[in-house]
Amino acid sequence: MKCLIVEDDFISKKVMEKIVEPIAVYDSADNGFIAFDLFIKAHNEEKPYDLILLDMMMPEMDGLSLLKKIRTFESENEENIKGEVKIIMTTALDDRKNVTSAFKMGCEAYIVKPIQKNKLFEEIKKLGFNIKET
Amino acid sequence: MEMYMPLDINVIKSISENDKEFETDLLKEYNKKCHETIKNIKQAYLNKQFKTVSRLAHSLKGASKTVGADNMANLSYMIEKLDYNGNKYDFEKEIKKVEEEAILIEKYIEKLL
Repeated sequence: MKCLIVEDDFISKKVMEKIVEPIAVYDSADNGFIAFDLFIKAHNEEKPYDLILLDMMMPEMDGLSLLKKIRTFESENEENIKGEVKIIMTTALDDRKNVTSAFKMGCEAYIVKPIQKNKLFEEIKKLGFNIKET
Repeated sequence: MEMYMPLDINVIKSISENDKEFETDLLKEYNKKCHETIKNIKQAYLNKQFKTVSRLAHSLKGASKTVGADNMANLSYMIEKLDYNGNKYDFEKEIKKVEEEAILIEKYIEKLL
């Protein structure tokens, strides 16, 4: 599984990398602009991400804006790409009002911070990934 | 008398799977982040950049929850949700609590490492 972690907070990013490390190869981005560049680059190299863990609240380009950009790209290029990347939004407990918007824009799931390994793995499995810890 | 623990180390241990280097790095980084963020919050408040104050407090809240510093997370939330049309006293009162908590966290991390 190839995964992209998008998280502006260093601590949360470090924790997420630690959790994901045994089950996926991953890249990390600390803002939406870098994340979108990596997403496009991966498509250009024909090695797209299978999963994106996307923080809802980030400065400059927030998670919802990035989600919209990704889904727009995918729909405009649907003939050239294999399918949509699965996206799990990560959000603070009091940020749930944005979750409805995220689902409307095409995310598959969300998890509430702080990220817990079991909960994250559970969501990943629900999306159909067969995860094996190394 | 029970000692106050501003941070539940078990939260980090549940993720680290006994990787001591990871635990140390995370705690050091969190401690640094606390102090830097408080400094930046105060500066943003002085500049009347209240959205930035709120965003920084939100970030500190997230990081605090992640490492099991729940009291700091709650105090940061108070700053995040402050009504900045209100008086200056509220901000000063809340930021002082955050600063005091950061000192407790720093001392606790020093003991842990």
